Amino acid sequence: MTTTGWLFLACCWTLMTFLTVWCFSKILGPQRKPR
Amino acid sequence: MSERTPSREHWGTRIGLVLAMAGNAIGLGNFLRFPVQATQNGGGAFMIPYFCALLCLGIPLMWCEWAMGRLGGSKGHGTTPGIFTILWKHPLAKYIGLMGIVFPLGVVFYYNYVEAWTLAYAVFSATGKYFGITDVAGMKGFLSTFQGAGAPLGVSMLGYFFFLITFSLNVWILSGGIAKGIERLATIGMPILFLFAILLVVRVFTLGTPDPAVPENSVVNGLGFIWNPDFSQLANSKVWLAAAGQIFFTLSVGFGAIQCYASYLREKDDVVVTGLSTASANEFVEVILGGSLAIPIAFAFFGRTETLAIAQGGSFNLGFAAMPIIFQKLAFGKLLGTMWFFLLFIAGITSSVALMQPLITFLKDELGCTHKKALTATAGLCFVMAHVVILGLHHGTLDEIDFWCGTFGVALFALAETLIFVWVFGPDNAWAEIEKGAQVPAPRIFYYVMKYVTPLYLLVLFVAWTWQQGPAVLTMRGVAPADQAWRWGARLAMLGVFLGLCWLVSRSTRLKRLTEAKP
Repeated sequence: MTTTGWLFLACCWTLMTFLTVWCFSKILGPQRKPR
Repeated sequence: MSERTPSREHWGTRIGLVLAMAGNAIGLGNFLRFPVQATQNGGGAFMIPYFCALLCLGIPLMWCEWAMGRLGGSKGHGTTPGIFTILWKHPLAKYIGLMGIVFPLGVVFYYNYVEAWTLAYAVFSATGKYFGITDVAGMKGFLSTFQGAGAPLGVSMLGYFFFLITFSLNVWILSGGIAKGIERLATIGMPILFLFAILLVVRVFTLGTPDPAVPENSVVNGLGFIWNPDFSQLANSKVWLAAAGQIFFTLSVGFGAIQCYASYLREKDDVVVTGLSTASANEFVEVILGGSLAIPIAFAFFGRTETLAIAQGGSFNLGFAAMPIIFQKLAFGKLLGTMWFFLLFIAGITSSVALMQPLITFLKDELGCTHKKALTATAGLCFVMAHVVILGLHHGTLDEIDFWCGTFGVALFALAETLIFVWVFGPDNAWAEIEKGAQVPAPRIFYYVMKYVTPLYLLVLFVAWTWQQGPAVLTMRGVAPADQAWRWGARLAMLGVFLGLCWLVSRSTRLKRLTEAKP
Protein backbone atom coordinates (compact mmCIF):
# COMPACT_ATOMS: atom_id res chain seq x y z
CA MET A 1 0.00 0.00 0.00
CA THR A 2 1.54 3.28 -1.09
CA THR A 3 1.29 6.60 0.76
CA THR A 4 -1.12 7.96 -1.85
CA GLY A 5 -3.16 4.78 -1.45
CA TRP A 6 -3.44 5.41 2.28
CA LEU A 7 -4.27 9.06 1.57
CA PHE A 8 -7.11 8.10 -0.79
CA LEU A 9 -8.42 5.56 1.69
CA ALA A 10 -8.28 8.03 4.59
CA CYS A 11 -9.98 10.84 2.64
CA CYS A 12 -12.80 8.63 1.32
CA TRP A 13 -13.43 6.93 4.65
CA THR A 14 -13.44 10.25 6.54
CA LEU A 15 -15.80 11.83 4.03
CA MET A 16 -18.21 8.90 4.05
CA THR A 17 -18.15 8.59 7.84
CA PHE A 18 -18.67 12.32 8.34
CA LEU A 19 -21.56 12.45 5.87
CA THR A 20 -23.25 9.41 7.38
CA VAL A 21 -22.85 10.60 10.98
CA TRP A 22 -24.09 14.11 10.08
CA CYS A 23 -27.14 12.75 8.23
CA PHE A 24 -28.07 10.30 10.94
CA SER A 25 -27.60 12.92 13.67
CA LYS A 26 -30.20 14.99 11.82
CA ILE A 27 -32.51 12.01 11.40
CA LEU A 28 -32.23 10.75 14.97
CA GLY A 29 -31.74 14.12 16.68
CA PRO A 30 -34.47 16.45 17.91
CA GLN A 31 -36.77 17.36 15.04
CA ARG A 32 -36.84 21.01 14.08
CA LYS A 33 -39.95 22.38 12.48
CA PRO A 34 -39.55 22.10 8.69
CA ARG A 35 -38.76 25.35 6.96
CA MET B 1 -57.54 15.98 -8.38
CA SER B 2 -59.18 15.28 -5.12
CA GLU B 3 -57.26 13.43 -2.44
CA ARG B 4 -58.56 10.01 -3.49
CA THR B 5 -56.78 8.02 -0.83
CA PRO B 6 -57.04 9.72 2.53
CA SER B 7 -56.28 6.41 4.22
CA ARG B 8 -53.10 5.89 2.20
CA GLU B 9 -50.48 4.05 4.23
CA HIS B 10 -47.45 5.93 5.64
CA TRP B 11 -44.06 4.99 6.99
CA GLY B 12 -44.13 4.40 10.73
CA THR B 13 -40.89 6.17 11.66
CA ARG B 14 -38.32 8.32 9.89
CA ILE B 15 -35.45 5.97 10.73
CA GLY B 16 -37.55 3.05 9.47
CA LEU B 17 -38.01 4.88 6.18
CA VAL B 18 -34.28 5.62 5.86
CA LEU B 19 -33.39 2.00 6.62
CA ALA B 20 -35.97 0.73 4.11
CA MET B 21 -34.67 3.11 1.44
CA ALA B 22 -31.08 2.18 2.32
CA GLY B 23 -32.10 -1.47 2.13
CA ASN B 24 -33.43 -0.83 -1.35
CA ALA B 25 -30.12 0.73 -2.38
CA ILE B 26 -27.74 -1.65 -0.58
CA GLY B 27 -27.56 -4.82 -2.59
CA LEU B 28 -25.12 -7.50 -3.69
CA GLY B 29 -23.33 -4.85 -5.77
CA ASN B 30 -22.08 -3.00 -2.68
CA PHE B 31 -20.08 -6.03 -1.55
CA LEU B 32 -19.24 -7.69 -4.86
CA ARG B 33 -19.50 -5.24 -7.77
CA PHE B 34 -17.85 -2.18 -6.22
CA PRO B 35 -14.51 -3.75 -5.20
CA VAL B 36 -14.21 -5.46 -8.59
CA GLN B 37 -14.96 -2.20 -10.43
CA ALA B 38 -12.46 -0.25 -8.32
CA THR B 39 -9.76 -2.85 -8.86
CA GLN B 40 -10.27 -2.92 -12.62
CA ASN B 41 -10.54 0.85 -13.10
CA GLY B 42 -7.55 2.57 -11.57
CA GLY B 43 -7.80 1.68 -7.86
CA GLY B 44 -7.89 4.82 -5.70
CA ALA B 45 -8.03 6.99 -8.83
CA PHE B 46 -11.43 5.36 -9.57
CA MET B 47 -12.80 7.29 -6.58
CA ILE B 48 -12.36 10.63 -8.41
CA PRO B 49 -14.88 9.87 -11.20
CA TYR B 50 -16.90 7.93 -8.62
CA PHE B 51 -17.41 11.00 -6.40
CA CYS B 52 -18.00 13.23 -9.45
CA ALA B 53 -20.80 10.86 -10.49
CA LEU B 54 -22.16 10.79 -6.94
CA LEU B 55 -22.42 14.59 -6.88
CA CYS B 56 -23.59 15.16 -10.46
CA LEU B 57 -25.75 12.08 -10.99
CA GLY B 58 -26.50 10.13 -7.85
CA ILE B 59 -27.55 12.76 -5.32
CA PRO B 60 -29.56 14.98 -7.75
CA LEU B 61 -31.40 11.94 -9.16
CA MET B 62 -32.05 10.69 -5.66
CA TRP B 63 -33.62 14.01 -4.64
CA CYS B 64 -35.66 14.17 -7.86
CA GLU B 65 -37.05 10.67 -7.32
CA TRP B 66 -37.87 11.32 -3.66
CA ALA B 67 -39.63 14.60 -4.50
CA MET B 68 -41.55 13.04 -7.40
CA GLY B 69 -42.68 10.17 -5.20
CA ARG B 70 -43.85 12.44 -2.38
CA LEU B 71 -45.72 14.65 -4.84
CA GLY B 72 -47.40 11.64 -6.44
CA GLY B 73 -48.32 10.12 -3.08
CA SER B 74 -49.95 13.35 -1.96
CA LYS B 75 -52.29 13.03 -4.95
CA GLY B 76 -52.88 9.32 -4.58
CA HIS B 77 -50.40 8.12 -7.21
CA GLY B 78 -47.56 5.95 -5.91
CA THR B 79 -46.03 4.87 -9.21
CA THR B 80 -44.60 6.66 -12.21
CA PRO B 81 -47.56 6.26 -14.63
CA GLY B 82 -49.60 8.40 -12.25
CA ILE B 83 -46.71 10.63 -11.18
CA PHE B 84 -45.74 11.46 -14.77
CA THR B 85 -49.40 12.28 -15.50
CA ILE B 86 -49.24 14.89 -12.73
CA LEU B 87 -45.98 16.31 -14.08
CA TRP B 88 -46.88 16.25 -17.77
CA LYS B 89 -50.48 16.50 -18.96
CA HIS B 90 -49.98 14.40 -22.05
CA PRO B 91 -51.56 11.03 -22.92
CA LEU B 92 -48.08 9.57 -23.48
CA ALA B 93 -46.89 10.41 -19.95
CA LYS B 94 -48.55 7.42 -18.29
CA TYR B 95 -47.12 5.00 -20.85
CA ILE B 96 -43.61 6.40 -20.41
CA GLY B 97 -44.17 6.07 -16.67
CA LEU B 98 -44.85 2.37 -17.16
CA MET B 99 -41.09 1.90 -17.46
CA GLY B 100 -40.94 2.53 -13.70
CA ILE B 101 -42.95 -0.64 -13.15
CA VAL B 102 -41.75 -2.90 -15.98
CA PHE B 103 -37.99 -2.52 -15.40
CA PRO B 104 -37.96 -3.21 -11.64
CA LEU B 105 -40.22 -6.20 -12.36
CA GLY B 106 -37.81 -7.45 -15.02
CA VAL B 107 -34.95 -7.24 -12.56
CA VAL B 108 -36.87 -9.01 -9.80
CA PHE B 109 -37.65 -11.89 -12.18
CA TYR B 110 -34.01 -12.94 -11.85
CA TYR B 111 -33.03 -11.20 -8.62
CA ASN B 112 -35.13 -13.53 -6.45
CA TYR B 113 -33.31 -16.53 -7.91
CA VAL B 114 -29.86 -15.01 -7.30
CA GLU B 115 -30.97 -14.06 -3.79
CA ALA B 116 -31.89 -17.71 -3.23
CA TRP B 117 -28.29 -18.72 -3.98
CA THR B 118 -27.03 -16.48 -1.16
CA LEU B 119 -29.51 -18.07 1.28
CA ALA B 120 -28.50 -21.52 0.11
CA TYR B 121 -24.80 -20.73 0.52
CA ALA B 122 -25.45 -19.38 4.03
CA VAL B 123 -26.95 -22.78 4.90
CA PHE B 124 -24.15 -24.62 3.05
CA SER B 125 -21.58 -22.63 5.06
CA ALA B 126 -23.28 -23.46 8.35
CA THR B 127 -23.46 -27.16 7.50
CA GLY B 128 -20.05 -27.28 5.80
CA LYS B 129 -21.55 -28.67 2.57
CA TYR B 130 -18.86 -27.22 0.32
CA PHE B 131 -16.02 -27.79 2.80
CA GLY B 132 -13.42 -30.03 1.22
CA ILE B 133 -13.48 -28.26 -2.15
CA THR B 134 -10.28 -26.27 -2.01
CA ASP B 135 -9.75 -24.70 -5.44
CA VAL B 136 -11.62 -22.08 -7.47
CA ALA B 137 -12.34 -24.46 -10.35
CA GLY B 138 -13.89 -26.94 -7.91
CA MET B 139 -16.06 -24.25 -6.33
CA LYS B 140 -17.19 -23.08 -9.77
CA GLY B 141 -18.22 -26.67 -10.49
CA PHE B 142 -20.08 -26.83 -7.18
CA LEU B 143 -21.97 -23.59 -8.02
CA SER B 144 -22.71 -24.82 -11.51
CA THR B 145 -24.14 -28.11 -10.22
CA PHE B 146 -26.20 -26.20 -7.65
CA GLN B 147 -27.53 -24.02 -10.47
CA GLY B 148 -28.68 -27.14 -12.28
CA ALA B 149 -25.99 -27.75 -14.93
CA GLY B 150 -26.58 -31.27 -16.27
CA ALA B 151 -29.81 -31.73 -14.28
CA PRO B 152 -33.15 -32.50 -15.96
CA LEU B 153 -34.64 -29.21 -17.30
CA GLY B 154 -31.42 -27.49 -16.16
CA VAL B 155 -32.80 -27.03 -12.64
CA SER B 156 -31.47 -28.60 -9.45
CA MET B 157 -34.07 -29.57 -6.86
CA LEU B 158 -31.98 -27.96 -4.13
CA GLY B 159 -31.68 -24.67 -6.04
CA TYR B 160 -35.41 -24.69 -6.73
CA PHE B 161 -36.18 -25.46 -3.09
CA PHE B 162 -34.21 -22.38 -1.95
CA PHE B 163 -35.91 -20.29 -4.63
CA LEU B 164 -39.32 -21.32 -3.24
CA ILE B 165 -38.26 -20.39 0.30
CA THR B 166 -36.84 -17.03 -0.81
CA PHE B 167 -39.84 -16.20 -2.93
CA SER B 168 -42.26 -17.13 -0.13
CA LEU B 169 -40.31 -14.91 2.28
CA ASN B 170 -40.59 -11.98 -0.14
CA VAL B 171 -44.34 -12.47 -0.48
CA TRP B 172 -44.78 -12.85 3.29
CA ILE B 173 -42.92 -9.58 3.94
CA LEU B 174 -44.90 -7.75 1.28
CA SER B 175 -48.16 -9.06 2.73
CA GLY B 176 -47.49 -6.88 5.78
CA GLY B 177 -47.61 -3.73 3.65
CA ILE B 178 -45.33 -0.74 4.06
CA ALA B 179 -45.03 -0.17 7.81
CA LYS B 180 -45.61 -3.71 9.07
CA GLY B 181 -43.84 -5.51 6.25
CA ILE B 182 -41.10 -3.59 4.46
CA GLU B 183 -40.27 -1.20 7.32
CA ARG B 184 -40.15 -4.02 9.86
CA LEU B 185 -37.83 -6.04 7.61
CA ALA B 186 -35.52 -3.03 7.30
CA THR B 187 -35.44 -2.22 11.00
CA ILE B 188 -34.49 -5.81 11.80
CA GLY B 189 -32.43 -6.68 8.74
CA MET B 190 -30.31 -3.58 8.25
CA PRO B 191 -28.76 -3.53 11.76
CA ILE B 192 -27.90 -7.24 11.29
CA LEU B 193 -26.32 -6.42 7.92
CA PHE B 194 -24.25 -3.60 9.45
CA LEU B 195 -23.22 -5.79 12.40
CA PHE B 196 -22.18 -8.76 10.25
CA ALA B 197 -20.29 -6.52 7.82
CA ILE B 198 -18.39 -4.76 10.63
CA LEU B 199 -17.53 -8.07 12.32
CA LEU B 200 -16.26 -9.49 9.03
CA VAL B 201 -14.19 -6.35 8.35
CA VAL B 202 -12.64 -6.64 11.83
CA ARG B 203 -11.78 -10.29 11.10
CA VAL B 204 -10.23 -9.35 7.74
CA PHE B 205 -8.15 -6.56 9.28
CA THR B 206 -6.81 -8.84 12.01
CA LEU B 207 -5.69 -11.47 9.48
CA GLY B 208 -2.36 -9.78 8.72
CA THR B 209 -0.34 -12.15 6.55
CA PRO B 210 -2.01 -15.59 6.47
CA ASP B 211 1.05 -17.29 4.97
CA PRO B 212 4.28 -15.95 6.56
CA ALA B 213 6.25 -17.64 3.78
CA VAL B 214 4.66 -15.20 1.29
CA PRO B 215 4.77 -11.86 3.15
CA GLU B 216 3.60 -9.82 0.15
CA ASN B 217 0.21 -11.56 0.30
CA SER B 218 -1.20 -9.48 3.13
CA VAL B 219 -4.44 -7.68 3.89
CA VAL B 220 -2.65 -4.30 3.77
CA ASN B 221 -1.39 -5.05 0.26
CA GLY B 222 -4.92 -6.22 -0.57
CA LEU B 223 -6.22 -2.81 0.46
CA GLY B 224 -3.47 -1.31 -1.70
CA PHE B 225 -4.81 -3.40 -4.59
CA ILE B 226 -8.06 -1.41 -4.32
CA TRP B 227 -6.76 1.97 -3.15
CA ASN B 228 -3.35 2.59 -4.77
CA PRO B 229 -4.23 5.13 -7.47
CA ASP B 230 -3.30 4.66 -11.11
CA PHE B 231 -3.81 8.22 -12.37
CA SER B 232 -3.17 7.26 -16.00
CA GLN B 233 -6.60 5.56 -15.93
CA LEU B 234 -8.32 8.94 -15.54
CA ALA B 235 -7.67 9.64 -19.21
CA ASN B 236 -9.68 6.54 -20.10
CA SER B 237 -13.36 7.32 -20.77
CA LYS B 238 -14.32 3.75 -19.86
CA VAL B 239 -13.23 4.41 -16.26
CA TRP B 240 -15.54 7.43 -16.05
CA LEU B 241 -18.38 5.39 -17.53
CA ALA B 242 -17.73 2.53 -15.11
CA ALA B 243 -17.79 4.95 -12.15
CA ALA B 244 -21.04 6.56 -13.30
CA GLY B 245 -22.54 3.10 -13.85
CA GLN B 246 -21.51 1.98 -10.37
CA ILE B 247 -23.12 5.05 -8.76
CA PHE B 248 -26.23 4.50 -10.82
CA PHE B 249 -26.62 0.86 -9.81
CA THR B 250 -25.56 1.22 -6.20
CA LEU B 251 -28.08 3.95 -5.41
CA SER B 252 -30.83 2.03 -7.27
CA VAL B 253 -31.87 5.17 -9.11
CA GLY B 254 -33.80 4.81 -12.38
CA PHE B 255 -35.83 1.83 -11.20
CA GLY B 256 -39.06 3.48 -10.06
CA ALA B 257 -38.75 1.89 -6.63
CA ILE B 258 -37.62 5.08 -4.84
CA GLN B 259 -40.64 7.02 -6.12
CA CYS B 260 -42.89 4.23 -4.94
CA TYR B 261 -41.40 4.17 -1.41
CA ALA B 262 -41.37 8.01 -1.27
CA SER B 263 -45.06 8.12 -2.18
CA TYR B 264 -45.76 6.83 1.33
CA LEU B 265 -44.22 9.99 2.85
CA ARG B 266 -46.46 12.67 4.28
CA GLU B 267 -46.88 15.77 2.14
CA LYS B 268 -44.56 18.00 4.20
CA ASP B 269 -41.97 15.39 5.15
CA ASP B 270 -38.36 16.33 4.42
CA VAL B 271 -36.71 14.71 1.40
CA VAL B 272 -33.37 16.56 1.37
CA VAL B 273 -31.78 15.17 4.54
CA THR B 274 -33.69 11.90 4.43
CA GLY B 275 -32.67 11.25 0.82
CA LEU B 276 -29.07 12.19 1.54
CA SER B 277 -29.06 9.85 4.55
CA THR B 278 -30.03 6.97 2.31
CA ALA B 279 -27.26 7.80 -0.14
CA SER B 280 -24.65 8.23 2.59
CA ALA B 281 -25.63 4.96 4.34
CA ASN B 282 -25.30 3.19 1.02
CA GLU B 283 -21.92 4.80 0.32
CA PHE B 284 -20.67 3.97 3.81
CA VAL B 285 -21.52 0.31 3.28
CA GLU B 286 -20.04 0.30 -0.21
CA VAL B 287 -16.83 2.31 0.14
CA ILE B 288 -15.84 1.42 3.70
CA LEU B 289 -17.31 -2.02 4.34
CA GLY B 290 -17.67 -3.41 0.79
CA GLY B 291 -14.19 -2.24 -0.16
CA SER B 292 -12.63 -3.91 2.90
CA LEU B 293 -13.98 -7.42 2.54
CA ALA B 294 -13.82 -9.59 -0.56
CA ILE B 295 -10.82 -8.16 -2.46
CA PRO B 296 -8.42 -7.61 0.49
CA ILE B 297 -9.10 -11.09 1.87
CA ALA B 298 -8.82 -12.68 -1.57
CA PHE B 299 -5.50 -10.90 -2.08
CA ALA B 300 -4.19 -12.10 1.28
CA PHE B 301 -4.95 -15.73 0.43
CA PHE B 302 -4.52 -15.92 -3.34
CA GLY B 303 -2.01 -13.15 -4.12
CA ARG B 304 -2.08 -10.49 -6.81
CA THR B 305 -2.18 -12.57 -9.98
CA GLU B 306 -4.93 -14.97 -8.94
CA THR B 307 -7.03 -12.20 -7.35
CA LEU B 308 -6.83 -10.26 -10.60
CA ALA B 309 -8.00 -13.35 -12.50
CA ILE B 310 -10.84 -13.90 -10.00
CA ALA B 311 -11.91 -10.23 -10.25
CA GLN B 312 -11.83 -10.41 -14.04
CA GLY B 313 -14.05 -13.49 -13.81
CA GLY B 314 -16.75 -11.23 -12.35
CA SER B 315 -18.51 -10.52 -9.08
CA PHE B 316 -20.11 -13.95 -8.72
CA ASN B 317 -16.75 -15.60 -9.18
CA LEU B 318 -15.44 -13.55 -6.27
CA GLY B 319 -18.44 -14.07 -4.00
CA PHE B 320 -19.42 -17.67 -4.70
CA ALA B 321 -16.16 -19.31 -5.79
CA ALA B 322 -13.27 -17.50 -4.05
CA MET B 323 -14.83 -16.60 -0.70
CA PRO B 324 -15.99 -20.15 0.21
CA ILE B 325 -12.42 -21.38 -0.24
CA ILE B 326 -11.11 -18.70 2.09
CA PHE B 327 -13.66 -19.51 4.80
CA GLN B 328 -12.36 -23.07 4.86
CA LYS B 329 -8.91 -21.78 5.77
CA LEU B 330 -10.09 -19.61 8.66
CA ALA B 331 -10.86 -20.51 12.27
CA PHE B 332 -14.67 -20.37 12.73
CA GLY B 333 -14.89 -20.53 8.94
CA LYS B 334 -18.40 -21.98 9.03
CA LEU B 335 -19.62 -19.09 11.15
CA LEU B 336 -17.86 -16.45 9.04
CA GLY B 337 -19.14 -18.01 5.82
CA THR B 338 -22.69 -18.08 7.17
CA MET B 339 -22.39 -14.42 8.15
CA TRP B 340 -21.04 -13.43 4.73
CA PHE B 341 -23.76 -15.14 2.73
CA PHE B 342 -26.54 -14.18 5.13
CA LEU B 343 -25.36 -10.58 4.86
CA LEU B 344 -25.66 -10.86 1.08
CA PHE B 345 -29.10 -12.41 1.51
CA ILE B 346 -30.32 -9.47 3.64
CA ALA B 347 -28.85 -7.04 1.12
CA GLY B 348 -30.74 -8.94 -1.59
CA ILE B 349 -34.14 -9.33 0.07
CA THR B 350 -34.36 -5.66 1.13
CA SER B 351 -33.85 -4.81 -2.55
CA SER B 352 -36.17 -7.43 -4.06
CA VAL B 353 -39.20 -6.38 -1.99
CA ALA B 354 -38.57 -2.81 -3.18
CA LEU B 355 -38.58 -3.99 -6.80
CA MET B 356 -41.90 -5.84 -6.42
CA GLN B 357 -43.66 -3.03 -4.57
CA PRO B 358 -44.27 -0.68 -7.57
CA LEU B 359 -46.66 -3.13 -9.29
CA ILE B 360 -48.52 -3.72 -6.01
CA THR B 361 -48.87 0.03 -5.47
CA PHE B 362 -49.93 0.55 -9.11
CA LEU B 363 -52.69 -2.05 -8.87
CA LYS B 364 -53.93 -0.51 -5.62
CA ASP B 365 -53.72 3.14 -6.62
CA GLU B 366 -54.75 3.04 -10.25
CA LEU B 367 -57.09 0.05 -10.39
CA GLY B 368 -58.53 0.10 -6.89
CA CYS B 369 -57.38 -3.43 -6.02
CA THR B 370 -57.20 -4.51 -2.40
CA HIS B 371 -53.72 -5.18 -0.99
CA LYS B 372 -54.35 -8.92 -1.02
CA LYS B 373 -55.48 -8.91 -4.64
CA ALA B 374 -52.60 -6.68 -5.76
CA LEU B 375 -50.05 -8.83 -3.94
CA THR B 376 -51.50 -12.06 -5.34
CA ALA B 377 -51.38 -10.73 -8.90
CA THR B 378 -47.82 -9.39 -8.49
CA ALA B 379 -46.55 -12.54 -6.82
CA GLY B 380 -48.22 -14.71 -9.44
CA LEU B 381 -46.63 -12.78 -12.30
CA CYS B 382 -43.19 -12.75 -10.65
CA PHE B 383 -43.39 -16.47 -9.89
CA VAL B 384 -44.30 -17.42 -13.44
CA MET B 385 -41.73 -15.08 -15.01
CA ALA B 386 -38.97 -16.24 -12.65
CA HIS B 387 -39.21 -19.58 -14.47
CA VAL B 388 -38.06 -17.93 -17.70
CA VAL B 389 -34.81 -17.26 -15.82
CA ILE B 390 -34.67 -20.51 -13.85
CA LEU B 391 -35.28 -22.79 -16.83
CA GLY B 392 -33.23 -20.68 -19.22
CA LEU B 393 -30.33 -19.84 -16.91
CA HIS B 394 -27.86 -21.94 -18.89
CA HIS B 395 -29.18 -20.44 -22.15
CA GLY B 396 -28.59 -16.80 -21.19
CA THR B 397 -32.11 -15.62 -20.31
CA LEU B 398 -30.82 -13.92 -17.14
CA ASP B 399 -28.25 -11.90 -19.12
CA GLU B 400 -30.89 -11.01 -21.72
CA ILE B 401 -33.37 -9.65 -19.18
CA ASP B 402 -30.57 -7.98 -17.22
CA PHE B 403 -29.45 -6.03 -20.28
CA TRP B 404 -32.90 -4.82 -21.32
CA CYS B 405 -34.22 -4.05 -17.85
CA GLY B 406 -31.15 -3.59 -15.64
CA THR B 407 -28.89 -1.63 -18.01
CA PHE B 408 -30.64 -0.19 -21.09
CA GLY B 409 -33.98 0.23 -19.32
CA VAL B 410 -32.87 2.01 -16.17
CA ALA B 411 -30.68 4.46 -18.07
CA LEU B 412 -33.55 5.24 -20.47
CA PHE B 413 -36.03 5.62 -17.65
CA ALA B 414 -33.70 7.85 -15.58
CA LEU B 415 -33.19 10.09 -18.61
CA ALA B 416 -36.96 10.27 -19.24
CA GLU B 417 -37.82 11.02 -15.62
CA THR B 418 -35.18 13.75 -15.34
CA LEU B 419 -36.39 15.43 -18.52
CA ILE B 420 -40.04 15.22 -17.44
CA PHE B 421 -39.43 16.38 -13.87
CA VAL B 422 -36.84 19.10 -14.50
CA TRP B 423 -37.60 20.32 -18.01
CA VAL B 424 -41.32 19.61 -18.57
CA PHE B 425 -42.58 20.19 -15.03
CA GLY B 426 -40.13 23.10 -14.87
CA PRO B 427 -36.84 23.51 -13.02
CA ASP B 428 -38.29 26.00 -10.54
CA ASN B 429 -41.28 23.77 -9.78
CA ALA B 430 -38.97 20.77 -9.43
CA TRP B 431 -36.63 22.66 -7.09
CA ALA B 432 -39.55 23.95 -5.01
CA GLU B 433 -40.81 20.38 -4.71
CA ILE B 434 -37.40 19.19 -3.45
CA GLU B 435 -37.13 22.09 -1.01
CA LYS B 436 -40.63 21.66 0.39
CA GLY B 437 -40.43 20.74 4.08
CA ALA B 438 -36.62 20.50 3.91
CA GLN B 439 -34.96 20.16 7.31
CA VAL B 440 -31.79 21.66 5.82
CA PRO B 441 -31.86 23.54 2.49
CA ALA B 442 -30.30 21.77 -0.47
CA PRO B 443 -27.27 23.70 -1.80
CA ARG B 444 -28.43 25.94 -4.66
CA ILE B 445 -25.69 24.66 -6.95
CA PHE B 446 -27.64 21.41 -7.26
CA TYR B 447 -30.41 23.38 -9.02
CA TYR B 448 -28.01 23.96 -11.93
CA VAL B 449 -26.50 20.48 -11.69
CA MET B 450 -29.98 18.96 -11.85
CA LYS B 451 -30.96 21.20 -14.75
CA TYR B 452 -27.93 20.77 -17.00
CA VAL B 453 -25.33 18.29 -15.78
CA THR B 454 -27.51 15.35 -14.68
CA PRO B 455 -29.47 15.05 -17.97
CA LEU B 456 -26.24 15.35 -19.95
CA TYR B 457 -24.51 12.73 -17.79
CA LEU B 458 -27.49 10.40 -18.27
CA LEU B 459 -27.58 10.98 -22.01
CA VAL B 460 -23.89 10.10 -22.31
CA LEU B 461 -24.39 6.98 -20.15
CA PHE B 462 -27.42 5.84 -22.13
CA VAL B 463 -25.77 6.35 -25.51
CA ALA B 464 -22.50 4.76 -24.37
CA TRP B 465 -24.13 1.65 -22.88
CA THR B 466 -26.41 1.20 -25.85
CA TRP B 467 -23.48 1.68 -28.22
CA GLN B 468 -21.16 -0.67 -26.30
CA GLN B 469 -23.56 -3.53 -25.63
CA GLY B 470 -26.67 -2.90 -27.73
CA PRO B 471 -25.58 -4.19 -31.17
CA ALA B 472 -24.04 -7.35 -29.69
CA VAL B 473 -27.14 -8.09 -27.59
CA LEU B 474 -29.58 -7.15 -30.32
CA THR B 475 -27.96 -9.33 -32.96
CA MET B 476 -27.09 -12.03 -30.38
CA ARG B 477 -23.45 -11.93 -31.42
CA GLY B 478 -21.61 -15.00 -30.13
CA VAL B 479 -24.80 -16.65 -28.86
CA ALA B 480 -25.08 -20.34 -29.70
CA PRO B 481 -27.98 -21.04 -32.11
CA ALA B 482 -29.58 -23.34 -29.52
CA ASP B 483 -29.71 -20.47 -27.02
CA GLN B 484 -31.14 -17.89 -29.41
CA ALA B 485 -34.68 -19.28 -29.12
CA TRP B 486 -34.44 -19.00 -25.32
CA ARG B 487 -33.30 -15.39 -25.55
CA TRP B 488 -36.09 -14.56 -27.97
CA GLY B 489 -38.48 -16.23 -25.56
CA ALA B 490 -37.24 -13.97 -22.76
CA ARG B 491 -37.68 -10.90 -24.97
CA LEU B 492 -41.20 -11.89 -25.97
CA ALA B 493 -42.12 -12.65 -22.37
CA MET B 494 -40.93 -9.17 -21.30
CA LEU B 495 -42.81 -7.62 -24.23
CA GLY B 496 -45.91 -9.50 -23.12
CA VAL B 497 -45.56 -8.09 -19.59
CA PHE B 498 -45.17 -4.58 -21.01
CA LEU B 499 -48.23 -4.91 -23.28
CA GLY B 500 -50.27 -6.36 -20.43
CA LEU B 501 -49.39 -3.38 -18.27
CA CYS B 502 -50.23 -1.00 -21.14
CA TRP B 503 -53.68 -2.59 -21.20
CA LEU B 504 -54.02 -2.04 -17.43
CA VAL B 505 -53.02 1.61 -17.87
CA SER B 506 -55.64 2.13 -20.55
CA ARG B 507 -58.18 0.36 -18.33
CA SER B 508 -57.23 2.66 -15.47
CA THR B 509 -57.68 5.63 -17.80
CA ARG B 510 -61.16 4.39 -18.67
CA LEU B 511 -61.87 4.16 -14.95
CA LYS B 512 -60.88 7.86 -14.77
CA ARG B 513 -58.11 7.11 -12.32
CA LEU B 514 -55.22 8.26 -14.48
CA THR B 515 -56.80 11.23 -16.20
CA GLU B 516 -57.86 13.50 -13.41
CA ALA B 517 -54.45 14.51 -12.15
CA LYS B 518 -53.68 18.21 -12.17
CA PRO B 519 -50.26 19.79 -11.90
